[in-house]
Formats: sequence, C-alpha cells, structure tokens
Amino acid sequence: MSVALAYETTVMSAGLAGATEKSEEVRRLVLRLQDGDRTAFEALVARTQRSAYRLGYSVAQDHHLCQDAVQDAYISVLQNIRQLRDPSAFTTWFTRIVINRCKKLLKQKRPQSLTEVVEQGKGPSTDGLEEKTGRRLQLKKALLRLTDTDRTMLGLREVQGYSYEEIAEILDIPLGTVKSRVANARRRLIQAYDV
Amino acid sequence: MTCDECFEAFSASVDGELPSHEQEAMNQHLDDCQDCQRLRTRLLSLSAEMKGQPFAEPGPEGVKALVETALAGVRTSRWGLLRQLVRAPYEHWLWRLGLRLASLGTVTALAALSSIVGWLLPCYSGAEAVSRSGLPDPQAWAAWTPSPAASLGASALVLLIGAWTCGLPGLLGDLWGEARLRPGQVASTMLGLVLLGPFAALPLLGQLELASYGLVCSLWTALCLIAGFALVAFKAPRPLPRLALDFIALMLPLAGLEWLARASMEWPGPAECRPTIAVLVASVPFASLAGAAGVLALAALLLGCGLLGWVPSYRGTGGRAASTLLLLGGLGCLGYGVVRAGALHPISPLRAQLSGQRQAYLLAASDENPWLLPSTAYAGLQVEVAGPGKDPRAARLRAASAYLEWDEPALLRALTSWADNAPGVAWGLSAFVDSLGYRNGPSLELPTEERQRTVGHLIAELRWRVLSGTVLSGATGSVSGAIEAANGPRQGLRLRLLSLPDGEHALAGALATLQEENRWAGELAASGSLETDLSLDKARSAVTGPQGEFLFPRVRPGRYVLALLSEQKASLTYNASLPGAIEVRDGPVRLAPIRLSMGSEGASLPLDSKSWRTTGTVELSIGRDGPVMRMQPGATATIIVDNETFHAGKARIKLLATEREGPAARPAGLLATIFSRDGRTIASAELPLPEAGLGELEISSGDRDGYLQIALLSGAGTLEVRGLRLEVLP
Repeated sequence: MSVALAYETTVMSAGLAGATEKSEEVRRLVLRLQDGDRTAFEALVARTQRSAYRLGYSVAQDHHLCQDAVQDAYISVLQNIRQLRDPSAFTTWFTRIVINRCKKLLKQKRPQSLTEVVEQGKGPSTDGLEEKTGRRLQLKKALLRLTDTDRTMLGLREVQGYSYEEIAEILDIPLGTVKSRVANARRRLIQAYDV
Repeated sequence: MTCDECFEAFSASVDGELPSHEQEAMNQHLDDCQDCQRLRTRLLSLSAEMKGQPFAEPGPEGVKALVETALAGVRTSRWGLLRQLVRAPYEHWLWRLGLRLASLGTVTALAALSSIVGWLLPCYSGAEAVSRSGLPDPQAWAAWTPSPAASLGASALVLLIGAWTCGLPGLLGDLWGEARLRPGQVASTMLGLVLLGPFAALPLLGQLELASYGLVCSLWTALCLIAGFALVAFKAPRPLPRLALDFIALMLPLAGLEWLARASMEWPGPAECRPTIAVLVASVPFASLAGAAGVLALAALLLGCGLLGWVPSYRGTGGRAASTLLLLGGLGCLGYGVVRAGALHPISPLRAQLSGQRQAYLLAASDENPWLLPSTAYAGLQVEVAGPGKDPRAARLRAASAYLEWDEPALLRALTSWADNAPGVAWGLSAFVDSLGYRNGPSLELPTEERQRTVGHLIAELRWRVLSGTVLSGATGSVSGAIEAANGPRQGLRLRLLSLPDGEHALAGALATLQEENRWAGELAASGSLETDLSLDKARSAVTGPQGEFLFPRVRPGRYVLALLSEQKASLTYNASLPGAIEVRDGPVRLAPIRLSMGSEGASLPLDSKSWRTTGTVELSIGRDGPVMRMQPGATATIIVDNETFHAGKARIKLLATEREGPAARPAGLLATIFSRDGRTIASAELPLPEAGLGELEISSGDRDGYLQIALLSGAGTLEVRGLRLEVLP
C-alpha cells in the first residue's frame, strides 16, 4: 500500500491521507484492467508514467533507453496484469519490472560505453533539456561510472524517495542489505564525483 | 564506531532510517572526525543535486503515444500466444488440474492394468476351476497388456506435464533472465516435483518391483531437495545464517531418504509376492479384488492431484477449493478402499497332518467356505503354514479331519459348501475329486450316489476347466468269470475289459485302443520308468485268481469285449473260448467259463492264397497286425482242413472278422461242414458274422472221421477276416 503512496507523490511532502487515496485509485484501475477494461490502462499510464520515467532515467541515465524500458514495462504490464494476485501491490511489481527492463537494455547496450559517450562531450539527449551546468554533467559522469545496482539504489532512494522497507520489498532483499547498499552506492558516488 | 560505520550511519540518518540509539554514537564520531564531517557534507550536497536532476516528462500527447505503442506492442507480440500457451498450464488452476488428472490418471490406469494382466490373470489361467464370482474370460484380457513402451511413455508424461504444471518453465525462465528467485516459490515448485516421483514410478509398482519403486522414489525426492537447495543458495536472496539452517534442515530428510532407500532393498519382490497374490485370487471374488484395487488407485490419484493442487505452483494462482475437494474425495476413497480391503479375507493355508505320510492343506475364506486339497496338489501354495492349534476355526478343522480320517459324509458336505461359496479359483481340486472315483478317459466313475451328487454339484457351480468334458457315471454292473486251460485253472493272467463303442467299426475301435495301450505299455516297460500295470486303467484291468476267477467290480452299462494280456502283447481272446460282446446292464454279469486253447490244442488257419479257394474278389494281404483276408460283396472263400488233423470228434472254430459298409442284406458269416470220405454231409453249422466281430461255433462229427470244410461268405459289405482258429476238442 505504501509503495503506491510513494509512487504518485513527491514523497518528502506528501500527506498520508492523500497517498492512501492515490493508492486506492491505482488499485481500482488495476482491478478494471484485470477485468479487461483497456481504458483503465490509459488512466494507469497517466498516473504512473512520470515515476516510471524518473526511475528509468535514474538507472539508465539515457533518455532513449529509458523510453524503451518504460514502454517495454507497460507492454509487460498488459501481458501479465492478470497474474498479479494483489492489485494493491501493483506499484512494487511495476517498479521491479521497470528496473529489470532497464538493466536488461543496459546489458544489451553495454558494448557502446555510455561513459565514453559522455566523456567525448556528445552527451545523451534529454529531449531539449541539455545539461546546463558543469555540475550536472559531472554528476551524470559520476553516475555512469557506478554499477547498475548502485544507480538502482540511488534512483529508488534519492529520486523516488522510497523508504528502506519499500526498497527491500521491491528488490526482495533484507532490510539490512538495503541500508548497506544505499550507503555503499553513496560512498562510490562521492568517490566517482571527486575523481 | 569506525569511519565506515559512521558513513553508513549518517547515510541512514539522512534518510531518516537511523535508530535513535545509534544517533548519539554517530554524532560523537562526527564531532571527533574531520573526514567524516567532510564526507557528510559531500553526501548532503550530492543528494540534493540528484533530487534536483532534470527529467524529461512526456505530456498528455506523450502518454497517449505511450499507451498506443504499448497496446500495439502487445498485439504484435510474436510470442504472445506461445507465451500464454506455455504459462497457462501452471498459472491457471483449471489447466493445471486437467493436465494433472489426465497424466496421473493415465499412469495409474496403466499400472493397475499391468498388475491385473501381469499378476491376477496368470492365477486364473493356471486354475482348474473358477467360481461364478471369478473372472469369466481371463484370456480376453491378454489383449489389454500394456507394452513396456506405453508404461515408460506414461511415466515420462507424468514427469513432463507434472514439471510443467508445477511451473518449472517459469522457474527456468527466471533463471535464464537472471532474476532473483523467491525461496518460497522455489520450495513449493520443488515440493510439487517431489510429489511426482511416486506417480512416475507407478509402472514399477505395477510390476511388483517394490524395492526398485522405493529406491527410485527416494532418489527422485533427494534429487529435487538438493536442486531446490542449490537454487535457493545461489539464486535467491537468503542470508547466510538462514542458508545454514536450510542446509541442516536439508540433511535430515536426506538421511531419512537414505534409510528408506536401504530399507526398500529388503522389500519383497515379484517372486515373494506371487504366492500371496495366488492366495488372494483363490480366496477373493475378482470383483471384490478389482473393486478394492480400483478404489485405492482412485484414492491415490485424487490424493495426488489434491496434494499437488495444494502446493502452489510457480506464479500460479487459484484452484485451492478444487484441490480441497479432490483431497476430501481422495480421503473418502482411501477410507472406503481400506474398509473394502479389510473386508477381504485371504485364505490362510492350514496344514493338517494325520501322520508322516498323510497330510492335507486346507484353505478357507470363511468358516462357511472350507476347501481342502491333497498335499501333492497344493505344494506350490505353502505360503503360510500354521498348525491347527493356531487357527481354531472349527469348520476348517472338521473338514481337514474328515479328509484325513475319511469321514466321507462330512467331507462331501464340506465340498458342497465350498462349491456354493467358492470365491475365486481352484488348484488341485480335480486331483482330490479324482480320489473320490475312478477315471476312465473322459469318464469319471463315482461308486456312490452321494459322491456323484457332490461332484456333479461342484461341476455345476464352477466354471470347471479340467472336468468340464468329464462324464460322470455310477458303476452299476460287474463282470465276472473264470479262465480254464487244459491243465487246469490259470492264475495270474491279466485281463482287459475294452469298451465296445456303437457303430460299424466297433471292433476296429477296440482293437485300436488295445494296440495303443499295448504300445504304450511296451514303451514304458522298455524305458523302465513305470510298471506296465500302472500304465493301464485299473478300473478295466483284472488279474485272475488261484482258480482262474476274475472280477471287474464297477462296470458302467455298455458293451465290452474281453482281452487277454500276454507277456509279449495284448490280444483279444479269440484264441480262447469267446464270450463275444458282453452286454452290461444293472447288476452282475457272470460269464461262462472261458477255456484257453493252449499250444497244440489249436492252430490258426493260414490266411494265404494257397490254402483257400475263392470266388469273387478276395484280397489276401499282410496288415500291421498280421494277415487279413478282405472279401468283396458276394465273394466266398473255402478251405478243406486236412483230415489227418480231424478225426472223429468235435471242432471249435473261432472267427475274428468285421464287415465294412452298410447293413448286410445278405448275411455274412462262416459255414462249417464235415463230409464223410464218400462225400456225404455228416454235420453242418453256421456262424453268422458276430456283432462284436468275434464268434465261435462248435461242430461234431460224432464217431466218424471226415473232412472239415470251412467256407467264409461275405454279405453286402466288405468282409475282413483277421483271424480264424481251429481247435480240435477231445
């Protein structure tokens, strides 16, 4: 339930009542979609695509790849929505799909090193939003030097604002592991940034 | 607190996830450590920067485009249908249930069929008699024998469909995609695979390979458990302490499985089970046996499907209610099957012994159903030998006692009761029934009405394969007489009473029987394996006593001829004073004294062309049994006996002849005439062709010498003369 809450709101500022309301709305949309109502899908996409893009970009650090991953994730949702036993767990499930798609696409594109592309100054397109400052470019470079897992941890925590418990549920790992992985990802980001 | 621990602590602190009791230690370290303070500042700065990263957010048009692309992607997915087909068997409970019922049902049915055809039917085919509640036509089942390939295929089908419905494709897919596995899902999938083992190995159970069955099930279970543990260890997020506990938990069942595998090697094999099955088939009606086995097989099927349904398949949902129903149904069937199986009362063989030599095995399904056999007929069924003291069933003991002490009325009552309540098949019963009477080919002669009634009842109530062609008869007549020779009565002569069947070739048939018996006795005597006497039917054999007397005490009504068995060969008594065809009806037949012609007392007249003057067509030939004169219709043959051999006195002429083809319009026979030296007829006698082929006439010349002329006349058919003997009497 709280996963959906984190999903649709700016976590740091969202109120619990509002989040519960959003979560309930997502649950109803999932139920309608499971019953075969395709119009619910559009509403569901409208509700969830922003978070999906943010997370996908955090992990992939590439706009086109992020688009492909999110698109694949929604196709997967359409194909497998009936197998989702608990509709209120949709957000956890969907987040996991997005992360897996991103990792899969990243693995396929790995031979073309994204780091090298950035360092050559070509910079991946962000659909008109160019990196305006040196600090942002520096951050992107640092993030690209991290592993997929580190970027996933940072994306889930820093960008999406999920609590450690939610991250543990999404990634299906123990709470203590989440804590150490987040700290390690941060430590490595600092090291990469300061290089 | 070290710097690393401090970093982790303020990382958690930034996220609001640091427990309060660690806060103080962290603050204390931060106060003392400049590096950590600097790192904290960097972390806060970068965290804020990440949160402020710009993202491209598609507008309403972008959302619409995304939806359309996703929908189109689903529609054009090349593998959509295939994926559904692959997933449906383990994700949808109805598919799961249907496929499992089909595959497990197939292998269960094949195993049941294999055990029936392989183990029950041989008991029927070897049985002498089958009760009315036994299997009517065991041979028809042979066509249903499952081939080894079919059994192997069914086992493979169980494993294939079972693994599929448990979700192995999903598990492998996730492994391939390098996804993390959930320990619970892995465990349930492996548990489902474990449950498949006992079903896939069912063909072994159908072949009664219990040891192999136990071994295969143990190995399969161990394999699944080890594979499951490996998957959890390497592909699921599992802390090391939990893994250690899992390992310990794995070792316990593995140890148990090893013990089971070793113990199963001691389980009985087909050879040990066969006698038990034979006893079951003998003591239990087929319908009850097959019914109990069928109910238990159905129970196994329902319980198997129910348990498999209760174990969640990989990512599968639903079906719990149906599985619960199956489990309840399976438990119901199991209870019913156990009750039915408990109601079967296998006979426990009881060996009763009167002396070292006389013993009998008594089988009984219940007190009302005793059945006893001579020990010789029951040697193969000594499954359980219990002394009389251990089995106090009075009826069985009474029957055994009646058999051993030959309390005939009690014994016959026991047999009648068995026929009324016979449950299954019978072995050795015909040997026992034969001991009640005397067997003569297809005829079983029973001397008393009570025995006839009992055996008749047995035959009527059972589908009796051995005795089905047997004609029961009571012995109501006897044949007696005495044999004399010139030098007094003859003792120790062996006689045979041959049945003379109706029809034209009665004598030929009797001769053929005699020759066959003679040949058989000769062969046995030559081989030294048996006494010649044993080869012959004792009911039709007799040996003359001191006064030459003989008696055939039990002779059923009919026509017979008497044969004398010489040391060398058996022959009809045409060289004796012939009784001819003996007609036996109710009561004794006393034959006139039979006088043997010995040595010079008589001589066979030669049947050659030189001695006979013939008219018509007469063929003289040497047959298998000696010379034969074959006279066509209307032919005559005449011989003049040398007068030197025939002085004044009496002559006895014996004829062994048969006539073939049709009734004689003109009577065939023998005409004997004695002429004086001047050609006058002194005496004349006729012998019509005897019915049994054997005839004898006497002619006397009074006190005069003369010539004896013998003429043979054929009638409407072909007359075959096999022997002609002349005895000159004082």
